[in-house]
Amino acid sequence: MDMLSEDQRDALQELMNVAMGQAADQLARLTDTFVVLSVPRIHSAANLSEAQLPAIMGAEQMVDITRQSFLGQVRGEAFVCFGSHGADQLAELMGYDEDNIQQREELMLDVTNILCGACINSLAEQFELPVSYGAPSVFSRQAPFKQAMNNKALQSHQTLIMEIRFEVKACQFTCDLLLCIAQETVEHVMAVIDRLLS
Amino acid sequence: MKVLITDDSSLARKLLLKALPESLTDEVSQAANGEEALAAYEAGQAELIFLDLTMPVMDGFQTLEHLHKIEANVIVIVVSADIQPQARELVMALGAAAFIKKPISSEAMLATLHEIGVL
Repeated sequence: MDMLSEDQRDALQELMNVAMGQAADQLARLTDTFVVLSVPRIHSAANLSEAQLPAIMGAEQMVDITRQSFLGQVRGEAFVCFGSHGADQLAELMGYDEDNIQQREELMLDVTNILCGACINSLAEQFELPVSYGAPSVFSRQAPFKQAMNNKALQSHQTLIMEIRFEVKACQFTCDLLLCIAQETVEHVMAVIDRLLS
Repeated sequence: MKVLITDDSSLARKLLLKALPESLTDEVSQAANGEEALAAYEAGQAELIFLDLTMPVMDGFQTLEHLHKIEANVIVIVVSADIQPQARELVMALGAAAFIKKPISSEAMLATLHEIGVL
């Protein structure tokens, strides 16, 4: 299933590019490092477990996943996927106690809030559609991505999925942000894109 | 002046072209990544390059590094959404004349072109 034309995909990718720049800047300020960005990817899929996400799905490694919902004329959920030691490396960089699990989870939730907030705010601003947020929460701990995403709660979502990778080379920290827009609100996004393209 | 717009997004290239003052729109060519930009420069198609940073094949940092290494006779204006201070510092150290953040506006474009003496 591909709900986007080439031009629409290109335009959405450019809007994502601006949004991820804002998020990377926030992460860079939090960690006092330089965040390496790559070109964002866009997928159309019935749900996250069916999406072709090669960077994450290809790996059998254990990951921690956090989740934050957003509401409004554009509605959906954002997931941040931390590699097996991702949060530890970040904790070390930030001077946290690596063995303190509670602190480690708080840090993951803080990073989730920062990345999702900056990204979604920027997108909402460009879409000219206000959004509000739920609180971030831990979605799954130390499980392979595919297994975690087979959660039944996600099966009914028809989504447009935007994938962004953030990398802090200074501490080999990598995380993937997946923005999933619910099918019933995709038309609002498409309307903005079509307006931009006209 | 020969202008080269380098961005992997055709929408971004279109928006940049729209923001260009009319006096710079006579000889405009486009490239979708750093490799294409360098080829266009070698072919004598670029005196002023607008360069995105996050691109496939060859990104803006690598492109700037190459232009810096060969002491290219070209003005480079980086136009990017990567607004980290370190990104800006790095591109300026690699010889960029200016940095404009995305999304680009005609006002920012004009102010920058005046600031670096192109207009």
